[in-house]
Amino acid sequence: MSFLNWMLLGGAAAFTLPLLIHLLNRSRFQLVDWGAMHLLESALQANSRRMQWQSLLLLLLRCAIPILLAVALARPVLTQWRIPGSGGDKSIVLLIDNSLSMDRASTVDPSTCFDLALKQAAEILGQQSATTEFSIWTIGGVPTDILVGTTFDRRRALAKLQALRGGAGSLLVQTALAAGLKQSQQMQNANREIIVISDFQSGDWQGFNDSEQTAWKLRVAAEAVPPRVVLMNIEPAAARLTNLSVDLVALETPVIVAGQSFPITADVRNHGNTVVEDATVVLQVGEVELTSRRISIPAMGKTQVVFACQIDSPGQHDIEIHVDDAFGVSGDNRVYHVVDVRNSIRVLIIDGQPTAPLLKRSSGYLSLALSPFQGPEATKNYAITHSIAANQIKPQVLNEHDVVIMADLPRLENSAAEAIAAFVNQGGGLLLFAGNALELNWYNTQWGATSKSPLLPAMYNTPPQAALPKNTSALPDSKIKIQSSTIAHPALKEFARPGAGDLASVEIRRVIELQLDDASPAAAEVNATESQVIMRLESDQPLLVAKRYGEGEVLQFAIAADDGWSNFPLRPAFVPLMQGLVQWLAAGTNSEHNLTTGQAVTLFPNKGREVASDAKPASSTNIDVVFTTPNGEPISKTLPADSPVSFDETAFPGIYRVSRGQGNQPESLFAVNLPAAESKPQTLATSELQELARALDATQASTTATYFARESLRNNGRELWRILILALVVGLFVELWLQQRIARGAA
Amino acid sequence: MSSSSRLLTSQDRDALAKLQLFARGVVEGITVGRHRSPHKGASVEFKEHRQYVKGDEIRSIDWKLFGKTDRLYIRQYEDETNLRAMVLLDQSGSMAYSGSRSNGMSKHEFARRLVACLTTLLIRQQDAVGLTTFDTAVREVVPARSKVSHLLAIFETLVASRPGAETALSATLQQVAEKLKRRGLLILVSDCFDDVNTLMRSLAYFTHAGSEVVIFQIWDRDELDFPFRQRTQFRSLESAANQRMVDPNAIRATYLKRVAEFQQQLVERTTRERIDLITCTTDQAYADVLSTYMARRESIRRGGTR
Repeated sequence: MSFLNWMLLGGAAAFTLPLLIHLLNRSRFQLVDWGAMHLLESALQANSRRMQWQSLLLLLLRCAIPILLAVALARPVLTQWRIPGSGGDKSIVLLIDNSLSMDRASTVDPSTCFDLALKQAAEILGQQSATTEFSIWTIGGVPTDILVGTTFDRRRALAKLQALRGGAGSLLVQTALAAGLKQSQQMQNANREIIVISDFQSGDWQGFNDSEQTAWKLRVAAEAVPPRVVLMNIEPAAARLTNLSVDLVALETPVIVAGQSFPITADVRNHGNTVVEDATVVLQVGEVELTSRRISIPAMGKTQVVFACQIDSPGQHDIEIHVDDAFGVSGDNRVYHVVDVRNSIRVLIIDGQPTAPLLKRSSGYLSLALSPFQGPEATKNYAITHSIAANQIKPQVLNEHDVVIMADLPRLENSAAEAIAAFVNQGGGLLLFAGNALELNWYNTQWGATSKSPLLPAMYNTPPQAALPKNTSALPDSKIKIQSSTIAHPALKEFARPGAGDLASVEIRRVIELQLDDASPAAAEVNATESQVIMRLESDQPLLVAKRYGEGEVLQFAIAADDGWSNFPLRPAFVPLMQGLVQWLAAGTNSEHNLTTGQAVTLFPNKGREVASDAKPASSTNIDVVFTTPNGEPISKTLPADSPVSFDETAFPGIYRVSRGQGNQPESLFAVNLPAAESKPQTLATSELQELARALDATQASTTATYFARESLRNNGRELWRILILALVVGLFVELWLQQRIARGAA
Repeated sequence: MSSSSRLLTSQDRDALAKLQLFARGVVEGITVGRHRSPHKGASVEFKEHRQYVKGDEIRSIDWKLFGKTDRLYIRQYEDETNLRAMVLLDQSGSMAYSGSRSNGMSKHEFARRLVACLTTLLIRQQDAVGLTTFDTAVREVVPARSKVSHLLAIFETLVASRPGAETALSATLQQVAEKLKRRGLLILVSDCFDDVNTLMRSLAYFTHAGSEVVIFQIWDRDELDFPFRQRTQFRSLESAANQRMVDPNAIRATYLKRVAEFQQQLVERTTRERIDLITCTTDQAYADVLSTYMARRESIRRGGTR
């Protein structure tokens, strides 16, 4: 407690005046000889005690009034709340939530929460002194530095603020706060503050769990000059009657072939509490509206829509599914998906016995299974197969294909082996079959877990007894069957059901033991994490093992692809199973074209199947990459040719286009979608928000007035004169009332 | 002349002369034109005719009426009795109070003059008047006579009266009741600062005995509106030991309420007991008070059967 005009405190001595007057009054009295004593006495009896304390109270009040006046004039300041040194110039980091949920109407203003957030931010900016340093970030989707650095120029900051737009993806709280903290540490003034303006949507903020909160607090505490954190919550209006959203596009087929119909599924959700009848869901490919469907959606429920889609031209296409929603937030009414449409899958079969008759070699069964249509109907085939001999393997040849199948190859030249490893690494698919000719030791050495390029999902077990012919473990007496119940691979889900796809009739007579546990513990660790057993025999031996290698994937069978080891190639299930596996392998890295907001897009400059082999740029040249955001803003980046291009400004949903070089390269597309949780209208309850503020050592303010009041208190301490003057006025009134009451002698 | 006249000082005698002059002035002032002249002697007032019954005096038959109607009627006259009035003057301590607005006249002084006027008035109406002064007990008694010269005895007693001791109204009234054999008019001049119930019970003796009771209640204006402002020590006029230091502002409302209650009670009880209560303050003119009294008497006489 300190006083601004402490000398005026002396005025408090004036309290002696009423006391003196009182004492003087007591000593001076008149004497009256009185007749009506009995009336006087009965009156005295009635209120003597009350009179006494009322008089005392009146005296105290009269003494208090000059004291209060003197203290108020001395302007006392309570300094307990003041933070030492906080009165200096400030550096403010404004983190403004521009996620989709902020587009909801706010209770405070007829505008949206986001507009209100901008208004509050502008008010905060407007009230700062010229020495205050600002940094403004939007934190929906990806934290974005709006000012690119900091500024002292309020006008510039305000102009930038006005240009902001909402509708971005979900807020990643931890990332956003970390960005704010990092920014604040780079700022010049020691008095630092991070202001988070958000609607505190439950979906976003509940993900910021206790351990993350603790970690954040520790990070803040570890900083040399820890910033203060202010949470400003914008209150959204009560949930709208309807808000529709579309999410989850699922494609049933891993590979989409030009001209062939494929199903595409979307969930349309109703977040409101009334049924929505007659909502129109539209499927659009590129700019062309393909088909539409009218559906009804139950309250708080969802309806699944399946469209049959057909795209005739190969290449990347963007699919958009949107629903009409006149009342809800518009940003979540569309979902985007990018598909890679192929002419057909190009499969290269490298045959160990190219000279054998068609049905005596593995490649024969495989090419028949993959391209069953012949002659004029050949266009219906999913795959185009080429068979070559081992000595024809060249990187160029490999790069013209999507999937390579090696069947019963004894061994390869080292250069060919390296070319295949590189092919898989760049996203190609490799399918390995066993066979009588296989030189197991070569495979284990060249591609095993301990090798330079560990392609093999599992090591071939070399049998201890050399007696067994051709290093294979024979199962002469028993015919082992396949466990169909344990099939858990998305490519083979048709076969997962017991009795389906007649896998039960497959009888295996011979098998190479695949060993996932390798002798080398380090390799075992790699295998254990990356390899996956897709199919097993009933003896629990692995039959098919998968492993991702670089961008591509390798599938390894423990049996041969001909009828020598099993009757599998002769069963009807062989055709769909092979087609499914090849489609899976060919799909490669398709999924990375579809992201959620905030995820980074990564492009590999030399990615085999996307870059024509002859157009591969020299590693010394840099590539100019132009990203075009959904609203048509071009963002140019120059990156070395031999390193991946990464682009993380994916805060807003929509289709992003990437063109490389001088625009002569084919464009690639990326679809960025909002997380489904962003459409949920729930926000943190007041108690949850308070708890969050407590956990973060932050202060909470819902209006700028609250914020400024607290700032003033923090900088200046609390001035008490208003309270004292108020007390004085109250005291005067009470004195007057009490005096009147005593004069009236009210009973 | 009563024995007390010997105790009168020369100042008292002056006072007595003034009192006589004063009373005569007042009484003549108010009675001019209002009453039949008291100097013409008593006349007999006709009241009504009544049929003659056996045993009636022959001389009371109205022969003129017999001549007209051929029936015997008796003439009846109002009973013209001499009123015997006893004035009771309270000379207790509380009557000594003299407020700031009464020109230095105490309640006792006011009462004394009022009694002088009253007795003069009554004697001039040929009524017999006596005077009793009392405080804790009866002090002086002047028996009721109707002679004009009797006024002197009354005035001498009045002049000798001094306020002082405490009041014991009720006890005194009982003593008086024993002495007042015949029914008549009892005039109590007092501030009535006593318990109302006891007072009324005592006065009820008189009313039940057929006497008529009139109370002149004397107030000082100060007692009615309590005008004191600064701290005041109130010392009882009846016992000097009883002193109270009071902030008059604080107590005024309650005091006034008590006064109103007291007065209300007195009015209610007197009405019930058919007692005339005439309230007067010391700053009032005597003529007004007496006029009020006479107006009351008039109305009683007309409504009464005497």
